[in-house]
Amino acid sequence: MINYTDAQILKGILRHDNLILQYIYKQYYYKVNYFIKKNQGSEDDASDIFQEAIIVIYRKLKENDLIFEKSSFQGYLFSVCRFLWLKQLEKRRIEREKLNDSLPFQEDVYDDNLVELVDKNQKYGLYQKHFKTLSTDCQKLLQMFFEKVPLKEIAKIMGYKSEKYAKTRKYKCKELLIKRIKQDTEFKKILEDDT
Amino acid sequence: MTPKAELFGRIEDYCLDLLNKPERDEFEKELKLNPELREEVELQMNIQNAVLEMDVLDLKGKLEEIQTNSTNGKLNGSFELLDDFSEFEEATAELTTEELIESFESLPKVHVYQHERTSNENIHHYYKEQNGSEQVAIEDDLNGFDMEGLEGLEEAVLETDILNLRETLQQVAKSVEPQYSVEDIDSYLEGEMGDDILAEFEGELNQNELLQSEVNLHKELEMAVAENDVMDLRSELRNIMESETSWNVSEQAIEDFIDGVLEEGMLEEFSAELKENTDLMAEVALRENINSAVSEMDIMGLRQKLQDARDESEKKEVKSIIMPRIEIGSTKFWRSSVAVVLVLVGLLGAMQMNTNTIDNSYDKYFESTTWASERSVDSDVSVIQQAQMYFQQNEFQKTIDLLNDATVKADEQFVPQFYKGLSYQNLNKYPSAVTEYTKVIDHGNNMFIEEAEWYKALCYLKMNKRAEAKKELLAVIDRKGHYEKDAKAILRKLKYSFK
Repeated sequence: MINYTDAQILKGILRHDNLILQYIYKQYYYKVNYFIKKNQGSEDDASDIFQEAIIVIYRKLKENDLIFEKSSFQGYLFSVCRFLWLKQLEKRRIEREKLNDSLPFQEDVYDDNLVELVDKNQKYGLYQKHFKTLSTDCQKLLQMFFEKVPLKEIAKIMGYKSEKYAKTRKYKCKELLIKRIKQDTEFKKILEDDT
Repeated sequence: MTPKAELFGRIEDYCLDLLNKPERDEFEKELKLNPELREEVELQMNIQNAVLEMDVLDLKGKLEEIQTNSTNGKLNGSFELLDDFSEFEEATAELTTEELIESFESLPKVHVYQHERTSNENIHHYYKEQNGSEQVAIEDDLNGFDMEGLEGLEEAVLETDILNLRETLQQVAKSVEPQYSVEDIDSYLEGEMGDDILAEFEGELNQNELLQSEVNLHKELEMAVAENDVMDLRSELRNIMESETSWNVSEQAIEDFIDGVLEEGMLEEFSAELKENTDLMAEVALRENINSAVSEMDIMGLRQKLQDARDESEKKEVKSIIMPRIEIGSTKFWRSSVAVVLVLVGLLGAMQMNTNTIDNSYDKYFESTTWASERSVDSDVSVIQQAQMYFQQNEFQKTIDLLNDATVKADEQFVPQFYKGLSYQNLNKYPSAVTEYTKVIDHGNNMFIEEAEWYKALCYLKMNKRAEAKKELLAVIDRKGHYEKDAKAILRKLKYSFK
């Protein structure tokens, strides 16, 4: 198998390069999986954590805020996975002292910025999860509204009779989305954490 | 009387149904509009119910005593409700209306008592204000109040407490319901809110944390939904994780590891991953089990014989008309039985690692097919039938001789060619078998081609012609037919690459 450099991997993540993503998965996932299973997690937990760690790294890259000084991509990925799992354990009221550390990690990765980004990612991830459960129409409609597409055009694209109807539909969709988010126990936990 | 006292007097009158109609109507109108009043009335009602729930006579006696103390101006610090049971008979005596009213006038005092007992209740402090220092004395004494005999009252009071708590919770729940609709908040965020409402909304927003978090949620939602790239990346990752294997070693390396021929440098790397990668562990175990299972020739042979015997007994009568493709059927059976064999392997624990010799592969996979008459031909039927008989009786040389003499149409030659090939193969005359199979394959359009390729590959294996065998096996794999998996398995065994 070809080995990619850290720079190639980071570029690949930014470009959503399938080959690079496959490479990351094949190269590192099993270690994360092993770590999480050793620490009271399941296969599903492992794949969720791995996936979200890549998303966190992607967000960092987008913000141009990812420079490896002492660490490498592997070290950074493992540190983020470990951090995300620690947060999960805290939520599940499992003491972190009992952690079976099999992942090599770097403490200096855990700065305020990462904590903030992880929180944002968790929140946005939840919103996006529920957004994806809406009907395709609702998703399309809301996205156009958020992208500031003119109401007239939205009504035309969606085939609605009037702009007024488009607006009413939008409220309904948004209302449904907000309702689903609020009903999610995960959201309640996030709110508790915020306060 | 202070206004407050007047109000409580009116509440009591209402509860005791002592108001006249206009007063009552007015009171009820106010009751609908005023939640505080409703709460007070409910409390009074509860007190009244509580009082009525206990032994009325007992209570009456005690209240009378309190009344006496009160009218004498001697607040001696205790209602002494349970004292002087000697007066019990007196209390049972019929009371005049005045006496009864006087008794009920003491209800406020019971109220004070309850106030003390249920300090978390949301009730007024009217009596504290009204009685000043005397009230302190009453409260002090209430601390030592003897509840013996008043369990009913206590229970009722506690019940009231629960009722109040429930009501309070309901009010709290109501208060946390969003005051502004999604539409309102959207109008605000889009700057479309009218000036008159805007000022009010902003005023509320400054003070109301709940509204602030609601508005924040709307803002965050807008940003989250616009993150198309993140959502795409997430779904791409999910697809990869669902479709890809999670190990970082090649298929060749897994096979080499199982066969114990993995080079030392790679072995170290492989073992390190195998130690932690549970998916790889499972894959290695599966492949080892398949190897062991397919090498259990005795069990497979026995199963095949049992199956043959069953098929034979079921289909003997129609055999001459429609010959079942037993070989193909049994191949399916063989495949489906691998899972069962795996279980058996586990149970028996007697796994025999195969030696991977060419002969072994050949022996594992070569089973001569039976004669399938539905694939027969029109020409020279009697000769073909005779050949079939010989073939079934394992008289292979006779089969060949007879088929050599048969007159068969040019475009149906592939039938005798295929069975001649099989007969040669059964006689271990592999080059001759290959010649016959080649003719069948070259014909290009008949039902024997896949099998001919398969048996030809097996012949090459026996002849130790690996390259030729590989070519035929790849042809079998490309057909994606019944022999595809078997062909792949042999290729693995021979350590060929798949493509």
